Amino acid sequence: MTRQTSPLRILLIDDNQDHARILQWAFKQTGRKDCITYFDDGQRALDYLESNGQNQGEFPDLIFLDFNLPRVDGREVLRKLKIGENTRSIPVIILSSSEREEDIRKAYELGASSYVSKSVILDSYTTVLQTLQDYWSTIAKLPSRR
Amino acid sequence: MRLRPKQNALRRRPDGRSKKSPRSVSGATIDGSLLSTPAFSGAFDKAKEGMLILDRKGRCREVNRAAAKMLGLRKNLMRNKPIDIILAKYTVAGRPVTVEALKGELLLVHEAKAKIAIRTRAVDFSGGLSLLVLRRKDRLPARESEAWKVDRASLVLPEFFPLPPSEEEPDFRSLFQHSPYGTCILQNNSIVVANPMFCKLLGYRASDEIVGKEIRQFLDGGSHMLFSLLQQRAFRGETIPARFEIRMLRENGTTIDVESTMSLSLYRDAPALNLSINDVTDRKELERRLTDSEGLLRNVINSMVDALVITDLQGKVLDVNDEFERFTGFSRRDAFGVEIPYPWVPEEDLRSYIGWLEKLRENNVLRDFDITWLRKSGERIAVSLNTTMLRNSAGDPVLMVNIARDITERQTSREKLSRQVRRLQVLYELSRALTETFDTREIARITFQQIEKVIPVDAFFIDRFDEKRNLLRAIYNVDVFEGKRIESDARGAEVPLDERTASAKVIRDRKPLLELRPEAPSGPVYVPFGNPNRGAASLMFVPMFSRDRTIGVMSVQSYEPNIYSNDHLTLLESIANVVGIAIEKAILYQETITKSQEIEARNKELDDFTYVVSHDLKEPLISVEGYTKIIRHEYLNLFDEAGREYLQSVMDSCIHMKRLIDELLQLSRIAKLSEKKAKIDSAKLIHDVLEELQFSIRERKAEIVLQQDLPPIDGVDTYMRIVFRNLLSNALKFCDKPQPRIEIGASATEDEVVYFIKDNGIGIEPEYFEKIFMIFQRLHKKDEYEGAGAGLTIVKKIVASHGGRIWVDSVRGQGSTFYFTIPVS
Repeated sequence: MTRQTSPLRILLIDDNQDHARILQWAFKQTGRKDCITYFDDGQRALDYLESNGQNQGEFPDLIFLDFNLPRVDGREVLRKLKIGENTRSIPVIILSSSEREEDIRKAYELGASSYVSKSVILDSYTTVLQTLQDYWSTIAKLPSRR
Repeated sequence: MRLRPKQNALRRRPDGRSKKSPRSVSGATIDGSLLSTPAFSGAFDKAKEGMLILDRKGRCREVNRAAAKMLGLRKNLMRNKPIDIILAKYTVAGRPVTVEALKGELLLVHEAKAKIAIRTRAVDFSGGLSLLVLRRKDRLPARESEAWKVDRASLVLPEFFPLPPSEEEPDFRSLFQHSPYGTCILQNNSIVVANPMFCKLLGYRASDEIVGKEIRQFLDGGSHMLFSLLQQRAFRGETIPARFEIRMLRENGTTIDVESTMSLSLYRDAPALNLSINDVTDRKELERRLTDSEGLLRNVINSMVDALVITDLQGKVLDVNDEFERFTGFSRRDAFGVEIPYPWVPEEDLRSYIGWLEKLRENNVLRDFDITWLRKSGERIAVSLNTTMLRNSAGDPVLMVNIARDITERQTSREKLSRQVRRLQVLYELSRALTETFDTREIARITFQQIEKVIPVDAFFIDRFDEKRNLLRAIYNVDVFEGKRIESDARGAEVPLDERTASAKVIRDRKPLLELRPEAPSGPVYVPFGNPNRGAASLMFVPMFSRDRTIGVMSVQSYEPNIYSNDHLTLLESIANVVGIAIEKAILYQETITKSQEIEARNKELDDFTYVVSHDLKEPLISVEGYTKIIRHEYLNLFDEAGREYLQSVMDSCIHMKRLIDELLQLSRIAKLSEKKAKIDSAKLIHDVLEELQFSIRERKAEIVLQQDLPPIDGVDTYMRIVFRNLLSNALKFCDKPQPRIEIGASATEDEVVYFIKDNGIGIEPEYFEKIFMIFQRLHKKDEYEGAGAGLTIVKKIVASHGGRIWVDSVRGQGSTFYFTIPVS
């Protein structure tokens, strides 16, 4: 079944609460014990991360970010994450319902580590999410978090 | 030496008055027949001189008594004997006498009797006869021996050859009487004998009217000196001209010009002069008329159609002809004595005219010098000049003859022609220049620049006529003031059409208008800028048409009064025709550009809208799909059989909707080719696509026929893949045959490549040939042939975005062939 790896602290940002709920369900299906923190608003997520930094709090290992967000757009959130002193080392995986070429390019240009289509996750959610989580928890080496 | 016959050779007594036998002389008409005449032989025999007549072979034909006596031989013995035999006892410088030796002058010496010496002198006659004259040396006077040596004239001296009296000679008499030449014999300056022609020429009826009179009486004063000179020379035996002309006085006081010959003869044993005359009055008259400046020559030069000016070498006018007077208006009196500069040569042409005359010093004739002359009235006339240098017999230049031809007409038609050519050129240049711009103001500016070349223009405008709104819209306004172009920035300014204006009139009448004012009114009239103090005095307005509609008006104006003609107006009309079309084309072009830009913008909007909508549609769909999956995972056991089936239907619908949305998204993304086109190896591309489709191909047991040597495609790889994928999957999908057969091929022309994909599928009815390319058009129920219905729409959009076309040819039940073209870049 699932290999035992150290649990990841995952931050999920998605304005679509349905999508978030489905994703969280899908994460659960992988059987991993990862800790998922969810925000339905980019700005709030950024605020949270900033206050974390001030409070010497913990930072997530991985951020799943929906590219299409109200208020502060996913692109803007990504840009800010990548310039933030505390956040720029955190891999960001873009989740998107768009498969548009320019969106994908933009994401990588802004420093995204991956771009994953929501449809693909839905088609074979367990495999995809398992793979992602495995990759980032075991294969890739992440900087240690305070 | 040979004696030539003379035309008036006969010398004889012209009438029967003289009873004594005159011995006249002739040098030339002695021939064989003459010798046999009794008259001749009588005279010959009685002559004091010893004479022998020898034939060509040197035989003695005749010998006279004196000669026989001198040689001591009998006449009969001498006849027909060779002269060398006759003279056998004589020697010439110790040698025997030969015929050849006798040609010259010899001293013959008798071998035995040294005392006897004979001097001979041979004279040739016509008919091959020669006369041998013999004289005893001792009787030869010193003076006379000198005479022997003189010229031809001396050889015919009468003492050598006396002739018989003419009374006894009817032949000579008749000849003398009827000779066409007037002949007389002069002795002591008086006429002693004259023939009838001589009398007739001088206007007398009979010779007794003139015989005995001095010849001077019959000579014109101008001929006295010549005649007496020749007379003296003739008497002295000196050379005189064979013919000379004198003028004689006739009985009625008129004169007669005669050509004369004169020779010395003996008449009644005294020296006489034979004078023979021939009337040349007619010839003289002709000559006189020809040379007389008041005569024929004057008539000829006056009858010339060209003007004639005769000058001396310095160019001073000596004479002109009538045509000159008519042509230039300067009379002969005006012109006579005039020196350069001539009043009929314009100042500006003077230098070239003088240069022309200077060239004449080296040439005898100069031709076709085109120059302008001024009439006395000041009018200018085009002239072609031909100048000839007249020289005297020594070759020195004497006069200059200028012949001037009026070529005003020729010049005018030449000018007309060149004007016509220039105008055509302007029209051509205009047409060419106008194809290069679609800017109406630029068109008008080019037009103005071309018009400037052929029409004097101080102000120019082009207005466009808006028929719907009944107003004029300024396209271009220009005013030329003090050599500078002042362009107005009034472009686009609108003025309601004022029916009182000329512009309105030409637009209503659809006819050009030429307005000439006696003087420029003060203040601007039609062009509201430029020189504020002067209005146009000459104005032309022409309507501009396009497809028979009046689209505007063009105007050319000048401050100069009366500067335009109908000719200008016609030209302006031609220009307006060209310009009207150009302006209309430019406007249509601008409209088209604007429209296509609008369409493009709208399409872009539509694509963006499609994208946004389909994306927004996708979001809830993902939710539906996600929840459905959760339900299936977590709650499936709560459903009965029907519930599970419904759940399955929800999931199928989700898949279908997802596909629709994906295709819509794809479609919206093709709008503009963001990727660069490249040469694509179409064979490889099709192989890749077939690879992708290999599952269906295997499943359908389809036969794929791929043409060899497919031409490359100039296109965007990802899109061209979609095209082939969609067309090929359609071909596989829409087939009811047990074994689908798909043929792929292409043919290239210079401009494009045509690809085709041919199947043996269900085919399409012609009425759907267009419809199948429209989005979400399905010809079949969803369960018959799955698909969203956007595949062909996407294909069409991709082909169109590459600049190509797509179409289908099909027979229902037999199969379809899809063709599409991709331009070759």
